[in-house]
Amino acid sequence: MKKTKTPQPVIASAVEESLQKQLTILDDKFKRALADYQNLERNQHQSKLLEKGKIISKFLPLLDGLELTHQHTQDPVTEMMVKEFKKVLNELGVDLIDSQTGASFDSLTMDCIEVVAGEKDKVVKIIQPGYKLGDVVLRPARVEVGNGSSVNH
Amino acid sequence: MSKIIGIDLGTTFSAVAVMEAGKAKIIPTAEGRNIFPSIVEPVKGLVGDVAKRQMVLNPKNTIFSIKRLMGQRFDSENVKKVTKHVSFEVVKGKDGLADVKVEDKIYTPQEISAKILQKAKADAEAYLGEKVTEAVITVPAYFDDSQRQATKQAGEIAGLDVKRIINEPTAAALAYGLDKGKNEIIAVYDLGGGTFDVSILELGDGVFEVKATNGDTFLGGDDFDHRIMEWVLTEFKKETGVDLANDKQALQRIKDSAEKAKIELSSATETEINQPFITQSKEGQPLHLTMKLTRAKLEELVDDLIKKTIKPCELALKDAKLKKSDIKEIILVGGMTRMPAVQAAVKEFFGKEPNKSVNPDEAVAIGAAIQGGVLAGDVKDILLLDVTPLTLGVETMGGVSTPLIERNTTIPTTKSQVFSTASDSQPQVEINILQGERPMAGDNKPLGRFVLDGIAPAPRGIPQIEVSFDLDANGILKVSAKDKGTGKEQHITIQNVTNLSDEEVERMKAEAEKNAEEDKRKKDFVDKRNEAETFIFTTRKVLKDAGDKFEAKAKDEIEASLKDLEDEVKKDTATLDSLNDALKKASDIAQKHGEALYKAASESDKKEEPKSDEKSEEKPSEKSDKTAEKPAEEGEVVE
Repeated sequence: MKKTKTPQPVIASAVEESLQKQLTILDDKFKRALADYQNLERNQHQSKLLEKGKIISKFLPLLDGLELTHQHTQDPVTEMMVKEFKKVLNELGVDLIDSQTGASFDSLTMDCIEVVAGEKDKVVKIIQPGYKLGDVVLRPARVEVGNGSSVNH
Repeated sequence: MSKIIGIDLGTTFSAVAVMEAGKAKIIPTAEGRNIFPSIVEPVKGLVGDVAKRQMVLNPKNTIFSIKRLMGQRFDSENVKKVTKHVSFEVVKGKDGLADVKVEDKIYTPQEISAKILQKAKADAEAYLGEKVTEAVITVPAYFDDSQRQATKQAGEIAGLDVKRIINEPTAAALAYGLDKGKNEIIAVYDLGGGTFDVSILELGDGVFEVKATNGDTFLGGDDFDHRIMEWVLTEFKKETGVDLANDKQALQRIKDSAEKAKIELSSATETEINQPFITQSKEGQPLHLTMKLTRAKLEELVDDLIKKTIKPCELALKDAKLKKSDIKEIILVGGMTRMPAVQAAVKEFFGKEPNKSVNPDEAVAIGAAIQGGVLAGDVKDILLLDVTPLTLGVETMGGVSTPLIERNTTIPTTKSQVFSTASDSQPQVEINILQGERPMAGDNKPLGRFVLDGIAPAPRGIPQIEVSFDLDANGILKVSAKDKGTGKEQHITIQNVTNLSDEEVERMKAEAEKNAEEDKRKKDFVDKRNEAETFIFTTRKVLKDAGDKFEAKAKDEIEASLKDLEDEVKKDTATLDSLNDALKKASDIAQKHGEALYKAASESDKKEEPKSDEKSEEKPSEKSDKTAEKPAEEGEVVE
């Protein structure tokens, strides 16, 4: 028993060293876990918004159908339903993307499906309205864009 | 401690992923999508969807499929083929390599790819909230050295230190978790938006050797969409005589419908394509597009496309000098592999069910992120948090098993709940720790028990006994019970709670399932009995405390009904229904007299107010106390 006393400091320092090492590793792991968690929390808001957007987007073609019907039939009931539909969208925080004729084409919010005669790089006709939820574009507005002249296309 | 992201730099789409809390996760783009088109407008610096949307307006400036030009000689057959397909200008650049020319400026494929990588980097930084400087990028297995070199350069231009370039099939195999030491041969079947690749890999000791690759560089989901569009156009023309092939607006809507129909037919066997007011008849009448498309029809339309993928599979096997039976696993990559007909064709060829457990659009990026995690050191001894395989709980009044830590809870975890006593002046509680999914204590596995004594004499339900379960990462469960009144505490430590064999877990789960109905009956019965006992107890208490307020007749009647109920509770032949009837009878009688009491009280002025107050509190608790348990009143989670 007594003889073991001499090597003991060596063992102790070795143990200490390995413990120190473990501590560093664990500390790192702990910080990573904490960081991951904080990121998750921070991103949760955004991902909730995106999820909401995905669901709303599924209903947009229905509104398109109603709007087309109204355009063709001028039916007052359909017009009412279009209004109601848009009201609901509005309550959910959805905004119409401003893509009026004459507006500058912006691929952040618009999708050019055809280039036609008309003022260069300006919206000539809206084919399908676009919508956004906050900063998130749910669907770009589909537009025809003028090319300055009709010769190119 | 910054992270190494994984980037799937694809021909038509790209994706980014990163290790988060020990798991690879796709990073959503700024636009909220999991993948983005590999399309670049270099002059205005647009990448992804934003670039795609102005493609029609700006075809000469919009570069897509740049991956096909990476590290390729301008004179090569490949480049000639690509040039035919694209609207932008491909030119001969330095060292005879292919470059692109936009508005008189020359861009190397590396520079264009760098824009895609920059977006990946920016999205990752926005998501992670920190700078990202290191990445793992994937390339097709058939990429030669100069193509790999070009990809690496693209990363550097984008400001990324490319820690490694890995093969796409290797990344997919990582995503599928096939790197766990087994020596086996796998096939990776990758049918993406614009290209088809099949690779045969040999795995062993964490090393992935590509034995052979084959494919079709111009075959993918876009071809499938086109087939549907063509069919719609033909059918519509047959029906109405109107040709929509040159109506860009109508085409756009048909394209949307075709994509949607294709996706729907992966789960449904039939879908409808509806586009109202798609055009007008010659007479000026509005025409609507309404068509039914069945899965069978779709499969017929694309049959030859699917067949085209089989030849490369044969060739790859031949190159690898292997038989179909040598392939231990087939994994699916690319969105098109969601199509049941594609899966069926793969199964038929290899004679084995393909593995489709990973999202095929994301598998490559996920695998790259895992590789990144390995390099960053957070995967090597990855902190794989375990879950507890079975529920842990304690026995409560009537032999019910009350769960504290539910099955599949990630550990380490701590849960506590406050219980109480079941009878007046109960001096001690016994904590019986149970494991299993069955609702009755007797059917679960007892792990250990201990007694907490020295509880100060108090009416039933008053003492607060806090029971805490602490399950550490090594599966060691420490259960403690503390009398909050006296501060007295007892505890027990149980080893290896999570260390159950898979068979054992399965057996216990199966038993719980098998006996679910019978168990529910038992549990419902005990719950009802507990409810009845609680009712008897509380009502007697009211009679005792406020007995003088009741008329003697009423008191007798209540007492008699309680007696009946008590007899029923003690009867061996009691059933849920008989208990329910007896309880209802007793509680109706009690309520009737209780009501009369309040009426009398409110009529006889406010003298009695304190008393009646007490009673009004008592009443609802009778009802809500139905889960009262031994040694507990209903617990309140105080964690």
